[in-house]
Amino acid sequence: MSDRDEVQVARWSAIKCKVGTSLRELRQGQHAGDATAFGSRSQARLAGELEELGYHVTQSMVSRYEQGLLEAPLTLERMVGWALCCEGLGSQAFKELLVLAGYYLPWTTADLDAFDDLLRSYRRLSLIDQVAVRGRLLWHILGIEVSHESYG
Amino acid sequence: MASLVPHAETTAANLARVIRLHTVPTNPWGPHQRASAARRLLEELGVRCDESAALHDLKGFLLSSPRGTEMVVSRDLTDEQRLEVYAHLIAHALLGPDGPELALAARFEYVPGRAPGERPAHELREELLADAVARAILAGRLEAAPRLIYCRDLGPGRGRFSRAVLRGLHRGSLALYRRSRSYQRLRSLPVVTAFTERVHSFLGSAA
Repeated sequence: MSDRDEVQVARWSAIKCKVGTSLRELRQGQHAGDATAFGSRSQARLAGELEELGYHVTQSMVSRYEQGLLEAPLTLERMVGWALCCEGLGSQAFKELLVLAGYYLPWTTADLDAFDDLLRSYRRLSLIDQVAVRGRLLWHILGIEVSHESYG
Repeated sequence: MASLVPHAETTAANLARVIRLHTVPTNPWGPHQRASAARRLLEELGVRCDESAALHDLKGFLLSSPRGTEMVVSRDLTDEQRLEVYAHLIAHALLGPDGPELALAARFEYVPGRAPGERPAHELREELLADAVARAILAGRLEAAPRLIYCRDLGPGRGRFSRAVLRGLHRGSLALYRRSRSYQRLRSLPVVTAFTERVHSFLGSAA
């Protein structure tokens, strides 16, 4: 294992339980004020939606990431993709998740409000349309372009 | 200042001009050429366009952020429909918020009859206004919409009094345009447009 990998693995070991818990809460809609207002995504459905975004994350990997059991670090783009697939996502939870992962999101309060507005409109779309928008959102949030084969 | 699209006012004016030029009887362009010209124009002005998306309830959407603006249009649309979506999204850009840089925001264009039922009132109000502005763009006559929509700077004016009158008139026109469909139709009549242009020229030009 190279030095760089060791650093990444050590870092991931330190945060994987917290990140896993946060991702599980997002999937189950527990980050939203009223959990009943947002449906809980099943692990299988989340895995399927991540696959549509172009990320190979199986249902078993979803389960093990949530329990903090997987040694392989979850990349930033998969983490953001995961968050965008969750109905309970809100700007504050999103920012906190990225802070946990060591990524500072340079958003002002107005940006956070705008993101919440955007999420509200986005959740009213059909799943097919959500998938198309989600792929683009990755670029706008992180500058990551999803290959055109993986969506719309 | 930036809105949902970089240089939204210039983009809207140019889009209307391109549509107007390509519909003159001596040089009529087909729908495909007009839609292509609109897309080229948008891309030249910094808007990424993708016309290959598989969408279901949407005809297209606009995403804007400090990283840029993109318009995504359904691959199932005809050329005329694509042009309409571009005009609509540009209309939304004119009506949307503006700030020192592009804001993180989205605007969705729904297939008729497939828009969600529980949309907020402000979104529905913007949609109605965007319809009217898009019609003005598609007619190649952006001036058929109130000036404050596509030009925030009203010019120096002849003096403080005429500037105040001018601003009052334009604000009143915009307020009426937001509330009344009859006024939208009236405002788009060539004779009314010409009259308002003349009043603006008189009061708005420097003494």
